[in-house]
Amino acid sequence: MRFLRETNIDFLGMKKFGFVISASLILAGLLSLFLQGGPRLSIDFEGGTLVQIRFQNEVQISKLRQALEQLNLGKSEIQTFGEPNEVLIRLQKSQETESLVEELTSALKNVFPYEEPDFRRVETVGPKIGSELSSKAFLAILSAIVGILIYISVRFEFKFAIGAITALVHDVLITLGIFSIMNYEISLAIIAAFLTIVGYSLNDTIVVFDRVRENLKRMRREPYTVIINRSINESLSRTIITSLTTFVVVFVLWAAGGEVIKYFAFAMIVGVIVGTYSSVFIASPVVVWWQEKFVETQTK
Amino acid sequence: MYGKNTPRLIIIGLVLLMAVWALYPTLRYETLSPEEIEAMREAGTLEDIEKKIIRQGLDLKGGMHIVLEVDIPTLIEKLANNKTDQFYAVLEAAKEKSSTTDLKFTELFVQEAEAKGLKLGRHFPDYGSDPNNIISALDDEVTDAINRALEIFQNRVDQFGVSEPTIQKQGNHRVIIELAGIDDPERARALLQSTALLEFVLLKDPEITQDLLSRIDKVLKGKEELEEVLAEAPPSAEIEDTVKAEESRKVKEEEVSLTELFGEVPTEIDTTEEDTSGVLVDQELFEERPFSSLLRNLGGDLGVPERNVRAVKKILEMDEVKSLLAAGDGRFAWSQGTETWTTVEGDQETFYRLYHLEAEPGLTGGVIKEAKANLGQTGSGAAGQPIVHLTMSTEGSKTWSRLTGANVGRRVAIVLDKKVHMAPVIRTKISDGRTQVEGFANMNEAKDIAIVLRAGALPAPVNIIEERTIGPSLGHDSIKMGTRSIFIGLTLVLIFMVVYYRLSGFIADFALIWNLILVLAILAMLKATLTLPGIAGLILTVGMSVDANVIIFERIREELTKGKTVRAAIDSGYARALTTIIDANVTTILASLVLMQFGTGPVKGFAIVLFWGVTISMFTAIFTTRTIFNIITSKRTLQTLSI
Repeated sequence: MRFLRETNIDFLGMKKFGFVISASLILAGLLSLFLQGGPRLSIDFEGGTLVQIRFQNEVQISKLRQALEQLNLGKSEIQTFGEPNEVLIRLQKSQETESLVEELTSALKNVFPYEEPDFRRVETVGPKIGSELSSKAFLAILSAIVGILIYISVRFEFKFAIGAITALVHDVLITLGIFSIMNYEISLAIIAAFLTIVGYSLNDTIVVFDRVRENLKRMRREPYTVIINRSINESLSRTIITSLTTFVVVFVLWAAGGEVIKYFAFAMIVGVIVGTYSSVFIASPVVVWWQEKFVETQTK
Repeated sequence: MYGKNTPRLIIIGLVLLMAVWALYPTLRYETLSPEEIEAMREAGTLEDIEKKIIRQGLDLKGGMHIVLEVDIPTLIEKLANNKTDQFYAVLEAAKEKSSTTDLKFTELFVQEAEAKGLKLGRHFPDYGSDPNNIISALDDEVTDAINRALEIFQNRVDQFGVSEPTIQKQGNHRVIIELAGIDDPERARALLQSTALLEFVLLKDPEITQDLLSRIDKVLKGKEELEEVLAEAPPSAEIEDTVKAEESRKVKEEEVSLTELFGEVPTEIDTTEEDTSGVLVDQELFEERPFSSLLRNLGGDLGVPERNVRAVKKILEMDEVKSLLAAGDGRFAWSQGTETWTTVEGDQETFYRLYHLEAEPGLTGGVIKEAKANLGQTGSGAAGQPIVHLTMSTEGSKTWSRLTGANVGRRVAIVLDKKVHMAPVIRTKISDGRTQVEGFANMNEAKDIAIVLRAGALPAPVNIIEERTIGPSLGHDSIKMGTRSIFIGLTLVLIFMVVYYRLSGFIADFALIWNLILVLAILAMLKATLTLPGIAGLILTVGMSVDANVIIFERIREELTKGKTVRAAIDSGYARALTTIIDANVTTILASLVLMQFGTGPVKGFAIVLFWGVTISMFTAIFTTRTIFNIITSKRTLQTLSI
């Protein structure tokens, strides 16, 4: 079976189209980030307390809020989590979990006398540890990018590194923006997903670049645009199939992996789509642009 | 013609054997029934097998993840000599600033001292006068404290009996402890946080206490801050009369024993008891005697109704009160537990006791040689109650003997972690170094105290700065859903590959399953932990690791289209795909390495799985499939290839 026979699509000719799509996605994301005053961070980074409780029956959030208000716990957010009988409570303050669970149990007893709440998860992070983690996460992403930049510069040429980095910054920005638009939290696991997207996006880009490198040797006379277009077409089949298998598994994870892992899977879904798209519509045009702007003008 | 493939087959066979060897215990463990597990636990063979299985992270198994930080300000305070008011002011200022900056506390403290003109050389004579030297000396003390704490935690956790605990240092003043499968988080928390500071402190004479109370009343009278204290106390019902201790109290065993120890009920400590009421008295009396009006007479001790505790604590923290206490070389300490007494009205009221102690302990817990939890013997005051027997070292026995000998008739408080467990009257000189502590809520508490006393005292208190408790039910759900996702994802990918690449797809599928098995085997061998993100990593591996085969197969198809023979197409397909695969996978490997460095717990679990998944895919997807192709093509010259 074969999806594609030999194709000859002028991808570089569509770069304006791609640029418009990317720019609007990034702008929408940035706008959302700006309006919300930055990404929505989880307690991993902000500090605070998270309590996941399962009840036997569906509970009314408003009654739950009442119970919480009695406890004077500061600002809180309550949402159902997966099932209607399961809730996630987030408190801004980091609490001593010992007394918190006790207080919550008795407050819940008052409001829902017939429920036996099961505290499935209680997490509390001090504010200091959270802010330290933020800088560590930033440093991690940065060092990954620098490491990759060096690797690609060594294995390929600097202009390819520029193309690859542009593509992966593009991917992470879009994923971040979509998270902001969807109002999803950025947790430690999501940072892990971002780094995986970085790896995946590059994986895809490099397979295309590898073909470009090979074709550059074979087709010396041809203009850059033709070579790159040809390379994208030749590796298109592989790009589509690998993206498809990866997409399928992360989609399954999103649909069937449970509530805790859902957002991680969501980030990966976005990452796979955007990563595949960017290696064709962002990374390659940037290489051509760099070549035309800096390399060829110098030699003339 | 298997000849030239023999070395390849041997390598594959060896890897397979290794994987089977590594995974066998896990397979065996997973198929054991609960009864068999119990039987093995009794036989002592369970631990052997548990060591070799793939460990499940807290998010799968349930348990606690705690990050503890050594309380550096308290440590510095402990290390300093001749502490002055200025010293405390500097310490407080540094504490305040530390919440807003990322600077190390020691640096902050020394900076603050410089700014405020505090001569640190006077407080730390051993460290010289150069600020940098002082910082590094203090840092060394912090490192030393954390190392000792680490060791003590190890001892405590070992004796607590948790299977496969993780205890690690993080940075230079934190410890991460992971206790999987723990069912009583509260108990674990208490066990870890206890500094195990045991002190034997003489009580002040009742007259002196009485005197102090009236002094405090006098100092506080008419102070504006008292309004705040009143506001602090929650509203409550009024209780007209005071507690008539002897007749009306709800009898509890330990109280009986305590009264017996007093011998006789001492004279009334204060006169307020006649007309105090409820939490906070009527305004008039409160203004007259702001402090003692909050207290009650509890069989000779100062009793604080639970509702007044906040107000009393607030008063005790006032500077005037602190200096009064210091002037008399005394301090206050609270009782460990509460007692419920009944007032004459028939109302139930919960009390804490407040003890006025000598500032310096007569003896500290460093002298404890052995600590054992037990039930009190019949006939003794603590019959049937949990108690802890203490045996002191020779040196400790001597001091204890001297202390008890010189103070017969006085009371001594046994204070653990600043809480008074009991305060018996010394009846005779104790010279054999044996003593016992009472006042535990239950046997588990007594056992845990015995553990911490044996393991030794922490050099400084520790604070919990991060805690994650996952219930077993959540972990169970995660495993179920995670396995289901892997299964569905894997099946879809396997089917797709066969449909798309036919026989070759089948070979790739074989490599893919191999890959998964090998990743699991590596996890078992490295004693790595499988976490929920780790499961996500496995799923991702399923999707991403077919990539190598896709690259190869697409190349072979290309070469075949160009009209090459099957053999030649396979050869050049593999040769050309190799660099592409390596270049492409290195980036993912780089990203996972960064994650391994950066992440803890779950994220690290993800990074490990991803790293090995991608690395091993290069072996399985290139080496193994190539061997299979070699075998197929070596048998006969193929005209067509099923790809």
